Amino acid sequence: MSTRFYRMTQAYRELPWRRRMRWLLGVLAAALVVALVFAFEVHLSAQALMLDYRLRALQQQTLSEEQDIVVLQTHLAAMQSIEVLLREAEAQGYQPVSPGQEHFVPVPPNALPKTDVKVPQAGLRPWTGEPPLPKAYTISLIHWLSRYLLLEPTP
Amino acid sequence: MSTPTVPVPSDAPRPETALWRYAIAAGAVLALGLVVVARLVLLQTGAERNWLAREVREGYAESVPLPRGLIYDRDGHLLAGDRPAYEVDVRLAAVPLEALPQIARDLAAVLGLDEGALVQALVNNKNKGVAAVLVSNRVSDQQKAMLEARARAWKVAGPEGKPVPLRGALTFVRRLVRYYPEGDLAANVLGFVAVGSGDGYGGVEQYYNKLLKGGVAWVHYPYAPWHQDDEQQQPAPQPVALYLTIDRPLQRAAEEEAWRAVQHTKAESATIIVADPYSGALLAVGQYPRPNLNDYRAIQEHLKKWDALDFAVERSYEPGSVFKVVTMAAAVDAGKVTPQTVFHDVGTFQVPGRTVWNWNRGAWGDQSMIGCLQHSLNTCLAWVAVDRLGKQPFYDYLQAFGFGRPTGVDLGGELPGYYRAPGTKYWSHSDWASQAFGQAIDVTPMQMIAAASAIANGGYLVTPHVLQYEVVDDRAYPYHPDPPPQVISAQASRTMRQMLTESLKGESSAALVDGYSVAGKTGTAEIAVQGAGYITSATNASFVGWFPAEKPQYVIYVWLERPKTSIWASVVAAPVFANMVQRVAAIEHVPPDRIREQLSAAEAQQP
Repeated sequence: MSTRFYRMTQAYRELPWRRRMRWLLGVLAAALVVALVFAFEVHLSAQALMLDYRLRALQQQTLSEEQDIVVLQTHLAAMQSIEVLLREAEAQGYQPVSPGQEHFVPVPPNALPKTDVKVPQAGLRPWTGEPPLPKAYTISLIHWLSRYLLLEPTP
Repeated sequence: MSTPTVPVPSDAPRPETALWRYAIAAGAVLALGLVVVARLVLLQTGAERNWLAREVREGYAESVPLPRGLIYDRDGHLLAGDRPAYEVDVRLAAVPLEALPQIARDLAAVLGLDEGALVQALVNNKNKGVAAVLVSNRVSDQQKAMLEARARAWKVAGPEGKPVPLRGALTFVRRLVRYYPEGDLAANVLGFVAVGSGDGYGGVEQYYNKLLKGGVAWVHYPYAPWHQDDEQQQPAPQPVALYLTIDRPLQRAAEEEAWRAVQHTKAESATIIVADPYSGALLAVGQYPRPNLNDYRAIQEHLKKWDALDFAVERSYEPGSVFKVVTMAAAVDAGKVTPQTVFHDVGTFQVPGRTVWNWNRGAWGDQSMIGCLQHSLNTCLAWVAVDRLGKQPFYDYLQAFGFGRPTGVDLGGELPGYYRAPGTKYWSHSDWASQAFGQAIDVTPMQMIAAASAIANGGYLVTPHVLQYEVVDDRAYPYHPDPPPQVISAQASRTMRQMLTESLKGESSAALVDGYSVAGKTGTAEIAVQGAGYITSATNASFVGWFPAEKPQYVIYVWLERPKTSIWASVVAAPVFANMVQRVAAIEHVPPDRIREQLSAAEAQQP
């Protein structure tokens, strides 16, 4: 190894100066290529950072708008509160219905209204060793509601 | 003539000094290039992040306050939301002393504060060198606009004695605070949120505080590229929405009936619970009085007076005769009595240390178990518990029905109730006999509704609850109770339904409703006063029942505290139950029994 290194340095030492310069320029060119590659990556990173900033700004905007939505929902709910609705209904001449005023007309083959199933029915479900409902649903709210209200079997 | 210069051949070796100069120059250029490359490499690999200033390394962050989770009723009506409010500070450092009275005057006028106290506070803090003082943290949009308008007119003496506008005296910080669009509707169920800490107190707000609490989301803006990935791994907390089993119209009806009951009977308070006996879902927990949740002072005054927000879980009392349904259900389930079992009432029942009397101190002769419930005979129920059921089974049933421990309802501050059991200090036979008819035992209305549900639904002790499902990130997670234990058999439950229906009919109770079969029991409990024993002039009047009697859909509990027009539950509480049945039937469109039977028959005839 040392003999090889000696030969290389000896050869370099004995080269004409132009050829020595060619070696130096070659090394510098290689360094320049490396520098270009890293500079290019710096450029890409900068672009990514700017995009990331925009995404974060959008995220912040989304959060702010969610806030505004909640505030508007609350405002809307206050306008539709039961107190307001009752006052409006009474102003328009409506009166609350008492049981005696309701007339139920049985129209066969219509069955009894299923008024007793509005909340999860856990009470009388036989205990089989398994939870009556899965721990967590992994379907969307709309799907869950449609299945739940239509009393379809849960997945 | 000089000798011409001979050109040196190009391949001739140069002098040694020239070679060294080239070598040094080339080396310098090479080193510079390597430094540039090394710098770029270090920048990209992050190896020099520790050399940079902290703010350069981490960038900066902006906070966004997250709204507290929303609460809806079972049909999606918003019960608890958020609205903006402002924190207003006086920047004392920017205000001369002579301007403080004017500022205090305007602040007091707009915010409804005491002007004198405010001036004093501002001046004292100014003299102490305090930079800014918080004046209020619940300033509305309108109040903010009014304050800003007034602040524009504030002037102070300028350098030449001329008045110049005073700027920057007030600072406003926007935040979200809890707002209840329905005012006091279901105030006891919902609870409230403390302004400072943002934590919920009482009801759903307390029980689900961790889920609901919004907090603050931070949006980070890193300067260094290597921080991008780290920060993106932390998503903002997802808002949660709770959908309750509470039904807005039913809740309103229960609250109206509670208010009406207090007006008619001059009771101190009224509590009415409506629940689904099969699932334990609470459809309404009406109460009067209750505070308007948007009025913080009203909440404080309410708590100061009552020391409880939700009477159904935060207060316990001796229930009196409504508890007889539990004793009777236990004895029926154990096979120790049947509806036809006869008790010969001589007007008293002796246990060591106590003689039990009936409510009217009378003797009722031979009575079936239905008669015992119908006439609410203390002697009979003491006999059932002591002579027929036995000590250990009686207390086993109390334990099974969930007395003496919280029901597990998802409302904050639930009390466990209390009763002395054998083996505990001071227990006596007197306790045993008294507990059989609802004395010497403290229960919450929620425990009674759970026990009544079990008696009505076939024997299953369901957990009362208000959560129907929670929604996180558009996914619904339904309330998931543990399977309910069966505390009495389906047969015993059926027998109890029949007995309680018959006993109500037998006494022509004011709880009966035209067209609807109801089952239930009144309870008049004298109130024990420390040092004076039980006083007959003050009672707790209760009623527990359900309808339709044979296929219970709604179980209802009524508690009137210290009614004045009559001390008897049959006079004051039973009509409230009947009114409530009518209201529930109308709101929920429950057909009368006659129609139900026709529809059932038609349904049965279908192939």
